[in-house]
Amino acid sequence: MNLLAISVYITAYFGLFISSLIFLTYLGNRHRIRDPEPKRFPFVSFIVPVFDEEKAIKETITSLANIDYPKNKYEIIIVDDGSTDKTYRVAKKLAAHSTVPVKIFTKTNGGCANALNFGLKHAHGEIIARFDADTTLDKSALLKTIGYFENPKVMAVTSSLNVLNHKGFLQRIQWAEYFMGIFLRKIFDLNQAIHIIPGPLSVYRAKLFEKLGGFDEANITEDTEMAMRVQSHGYEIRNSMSAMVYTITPTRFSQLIKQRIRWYSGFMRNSWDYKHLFDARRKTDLSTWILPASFITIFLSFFSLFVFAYYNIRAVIDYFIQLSVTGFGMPEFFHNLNWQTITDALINYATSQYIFFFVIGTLAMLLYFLIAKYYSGEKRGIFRAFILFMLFYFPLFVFFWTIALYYTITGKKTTWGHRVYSRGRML
Amino acid sequence: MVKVGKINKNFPKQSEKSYDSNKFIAAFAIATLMFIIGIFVGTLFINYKIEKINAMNEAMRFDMASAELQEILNEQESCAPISYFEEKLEEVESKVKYMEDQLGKYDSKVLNLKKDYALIELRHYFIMKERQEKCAGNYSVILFFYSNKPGEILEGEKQGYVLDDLRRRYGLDFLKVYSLDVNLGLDIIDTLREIYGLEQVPSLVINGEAYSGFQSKDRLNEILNLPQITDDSEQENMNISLDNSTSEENDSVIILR
Repeated sequence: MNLLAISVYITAYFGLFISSLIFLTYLGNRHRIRDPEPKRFPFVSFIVPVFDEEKAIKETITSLANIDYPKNKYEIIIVDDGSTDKTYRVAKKLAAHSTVPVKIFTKTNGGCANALNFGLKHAHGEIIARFDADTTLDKSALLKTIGYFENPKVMAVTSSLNVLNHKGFLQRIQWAEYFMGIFLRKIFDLNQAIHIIPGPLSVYRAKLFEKLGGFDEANITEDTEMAMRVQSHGYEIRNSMSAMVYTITPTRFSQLIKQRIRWYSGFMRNSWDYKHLFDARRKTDLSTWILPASFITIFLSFFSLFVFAYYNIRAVIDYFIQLSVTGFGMPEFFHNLNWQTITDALINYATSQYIFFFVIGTLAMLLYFLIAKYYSGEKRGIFRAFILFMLFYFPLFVFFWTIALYYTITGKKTTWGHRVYSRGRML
Repeated sequence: MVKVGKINKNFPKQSEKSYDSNKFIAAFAIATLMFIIGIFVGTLFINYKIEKINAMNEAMRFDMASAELQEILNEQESCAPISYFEEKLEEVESKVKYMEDQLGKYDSKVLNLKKDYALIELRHYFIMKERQEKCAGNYSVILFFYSNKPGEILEGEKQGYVLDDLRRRYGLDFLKVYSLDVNLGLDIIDTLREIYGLEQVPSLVINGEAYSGFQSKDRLNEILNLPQITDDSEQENMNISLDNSTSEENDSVIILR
């Protein structure tokens, strides 16, 4: 058996096994997907850390002031984290005219986690909702998360993270990735295995911070750290698939790389700090297959890319051998390039011995998207994003992980805001 | 106000949550079943392609035997070109190479295909060699012996590239190359090597003369006395002139099947 066959079969079996677990979870828990109705409306404190958001802050305060939630049952706390523009002044003006209580604070720059902890100390809600300034939300988003808190074991509820700027090549691929995340996060929820609480609209029970402490200010991804801390203490994190929040994804490739270095090195740091969550003796879905599957996916992606590169480098070497004996000329296959050979090649590809696995894999991914679309109520067409995702996501994924691994192994510094981090921790 | 305690990392050792083992058993069963189906479908496709090549070989064997019988019946040597076979040989050769790439050079199915194809090739070689003498054919016949064993494969590939390049430039009518893998275990190949005293690989037999080891493009140009081609337009002219030289005989080309 050659290297290609080994690579395809291992990846195929792993993919089939994980997809089976995912679909079995979905089919066995469809009755639990709809959000529970809240029996009461606890007081909610929105905490919005902002830094240089003078343009976005108006939209943030306006959209939060107009959500579907009793106006006397929530407050908005804006924490200006040492902005260098007019964010604080603009926010103060808006607060004066708001129909909902808005408190504005300003402080020296200390980072997102630091701003959140500051906001916590000035909040008096039973429920704390973290919200990011460059995000928008559906009016009913908060309401859809509240019903989950009827269960006293639930300490946090995540929303569904969607993308606002979905047009463009890079944007469509990211949108598809977030979209798949909408479905997968629900699957993690149904397995009590949510291990990241994404920043934009994450909702917490205030008691959590008393018992477990505030956000870790030295951690590059404080949202992952908090989720793993909650899991470690045996509390529950739930997800609302229809509580829709829209974020703005990086438009420049350099911004995207920086974001991914932060996310992936943060994930590695927190996985290491919370490595007991991987202990199979805990006999949880998180430890047995969900967390291990994340790392196996990364490993298999590298392995598959290595095999792909091996065959292509061989072809390049063969071409140079050919050049050395025949003199300059087109590579072998160009000589026979005509319509017949192209259709023959396509037919050969479609009847390849691995085609069944490629078809099943594509159908499984498509099903994830369709389920996410159905439950999230997304109206925009996702088909083009899906195609671009299937074609281009995998090499991008490996590329970003390669850089993140390089940063982690070498301890190379990365900055976020005014702070310097190495291996996921602030220096 | 919300009370914010210190970061608490005193975790309970065991978790209260636990997975449903039935779900794992079901997932394992489903994944294994789908995997087996996938292997089965893949094998079906491979076997279908191999059957197709076998059918083409069978048809060629039949047609060649038929052509030979016709010559016996006519009681005279026919010098009509049988370019139909050369096109078919090239088609089968490329399909066999494709299967070699898909399944690997040492796969038993691939080796059987190559054996079958080698015998058909050799039959054609003997026909063309005979016609070269009796019909004063304006072409060269080349037997090319190569090996896919590690350590021997590279020189063979290089020779293959040179021969393919020459075939492309001068056309099938002018250069007839028959590639033979010496590790197929076919007695006829071993016998031919013995007759020509060729132990080394790669080696060539060009119009009955033996050449051991890799022969470069320039060396082959010299041996075959090939006209120099400097650009594509000249190559086109070359092909046209070759076509014209056989145009008189086109009317009497043996039409088979």
